[in-house]
Amino acid sequence: MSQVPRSSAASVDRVDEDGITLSMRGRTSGEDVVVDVLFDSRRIWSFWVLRDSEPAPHGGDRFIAWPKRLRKFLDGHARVELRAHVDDSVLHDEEHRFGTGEGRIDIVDAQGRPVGIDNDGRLQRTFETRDADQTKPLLDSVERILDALHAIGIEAFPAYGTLLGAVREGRLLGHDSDADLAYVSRKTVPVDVILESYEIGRRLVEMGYRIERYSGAGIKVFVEESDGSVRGLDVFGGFYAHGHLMVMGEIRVPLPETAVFPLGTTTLEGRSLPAPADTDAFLVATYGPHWRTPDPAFVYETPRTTYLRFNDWFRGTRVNRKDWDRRYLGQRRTNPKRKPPELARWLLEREGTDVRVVDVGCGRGGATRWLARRGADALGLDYAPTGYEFVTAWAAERPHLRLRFAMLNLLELRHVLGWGARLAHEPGPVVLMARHVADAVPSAGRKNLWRLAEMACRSEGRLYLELLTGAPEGDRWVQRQLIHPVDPDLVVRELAERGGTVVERRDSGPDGKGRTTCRMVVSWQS
Amino acid sequence: MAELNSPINRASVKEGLQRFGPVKLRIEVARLQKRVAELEDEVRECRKDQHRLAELTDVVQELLIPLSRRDQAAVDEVLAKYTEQLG
Repeated sequence: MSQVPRSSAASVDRVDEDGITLSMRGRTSGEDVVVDVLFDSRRIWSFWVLRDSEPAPHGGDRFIAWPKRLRKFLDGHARVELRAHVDDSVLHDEEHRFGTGEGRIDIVDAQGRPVGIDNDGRLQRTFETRDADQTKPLLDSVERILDALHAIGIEAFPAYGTLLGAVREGRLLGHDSDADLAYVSRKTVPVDVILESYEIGRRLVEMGYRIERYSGAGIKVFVEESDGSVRGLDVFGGFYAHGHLMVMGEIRVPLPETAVFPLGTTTLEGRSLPAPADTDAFLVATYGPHWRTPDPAFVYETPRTTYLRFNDWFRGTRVNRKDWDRRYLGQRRTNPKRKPPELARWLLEREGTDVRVVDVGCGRGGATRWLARRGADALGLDYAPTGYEFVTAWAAERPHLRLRFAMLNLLELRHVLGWGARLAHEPGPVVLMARHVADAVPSAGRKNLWRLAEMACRSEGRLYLELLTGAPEGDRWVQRQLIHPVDPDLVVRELAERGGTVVERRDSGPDGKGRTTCRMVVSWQS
Repeated sequence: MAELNSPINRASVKEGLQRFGPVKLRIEVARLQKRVAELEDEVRECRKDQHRLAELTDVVQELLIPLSRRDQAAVDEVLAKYTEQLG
């Protein structure tokens, strides 16, 4: 079918529903080669012949399985081509049938738009599937955020794949799916870099942007595009210390400051954008000396020491966040359950309806809404705003209800101190409800929950608590709920250390599945 | 020299040391390995204080000015704004 010469990278023994079996016979070089996989002439995935394959189980030399995210599409017919990415030589080009499907295989998202596997292994609308009109809003957003950062004194520039695409090809990389920005702070100590990042976040919020914090030095900035869709762009913080350039989340290399400052320019899709002074040195620092050779299956090999430094200095505030986001993503448009949890009933029975309630870890906000509908002044707090999105919109149409939602991350001390002070400052006693929160967060988050409760409840307030205290080993339901059993006596001790007294406690279970739970009411002496 | 530096020979030298080296030396190596692991843990603990210190400093810095001015309206505003801008 193709006029291009056959490749010497490897030959293909077999393509089937499990994956691709390769033969190494006839290879003219021992070097590894990156190969694109095309379905009906569109690249959908790339892999390295040696790095990503394993010894073949049933004949042939090497085997590589289809990525998990592609498997669900493999039902029907497709012309499958394997081409060496760099020289475009052909390893394989044949019509195949997968499964029992009769139609052509269409690898598309829920809206029917073509998607492919990006270099993080995610199924994305890669740039090669979009035309200039479709990438224009992204480039506009890049310029807007760069301008906003410039206005607050931060010299940011495109980084990672976006910089690589600009410098190497003058355009967005086909296999990439989003744009990344970075800046190199003039601060030299992590604590100052983090403080500066907090200030950047505040200033951007003041300018009207919504932000989400990924670490002490990394944020996502959301921009509304002309078609009304909202895009989040990552802004990675960096700094110099001890002769090393460090940029979240992969770069730590000895590099003179002159490689970055003063910033120069680069051209991306015809637009002139800021760039590090020595883009060659910066890209070597990012991708190694072979950055000029295209690699759609690039994987960072960040040294353990770099990874640990970044973890210790900046990270640890988003434990399990991806799992919660994934869980809520499919429920965004659905109304949460109306039936209240038993703990909410407990609370109203004891406190009455004329009460100020804070539902900590409110999740989808169903219980918060139930309390508000019964007259309570209810505030729901959670670290995954996607969860309470539906009820927030629902509440906006019912202004007579006292029902609000906001973000609280128990893994960030300043969230806890800020909210603790605010709740303590607002007039009247406050009642906190935390249902399956102490058993959903790591111990640091649990201790911060007690801190928040102490601050908010110190004068007359109470905390209503429910947690899983026991479950059989490997209980799948418990794993799916993203919770883990916590010793209730440990909870009582930790609360006592914060001045809290358990005034009511009910241990229940084991239920039919072997799970035990505990409900407590905690009060503080003013 | 090249042969001595090859991984196979380094491994056999190590094995020889383990089998025939003085017991005292082996005890000292084990002690130092343990000490290095302890020091790594301590370094990591210190690094983690950077984040905590930044969080504390940020809260104090933002709240201290209105408090020190005894400006109640500004305190109210800062408390509301601070939590809304956390991100």
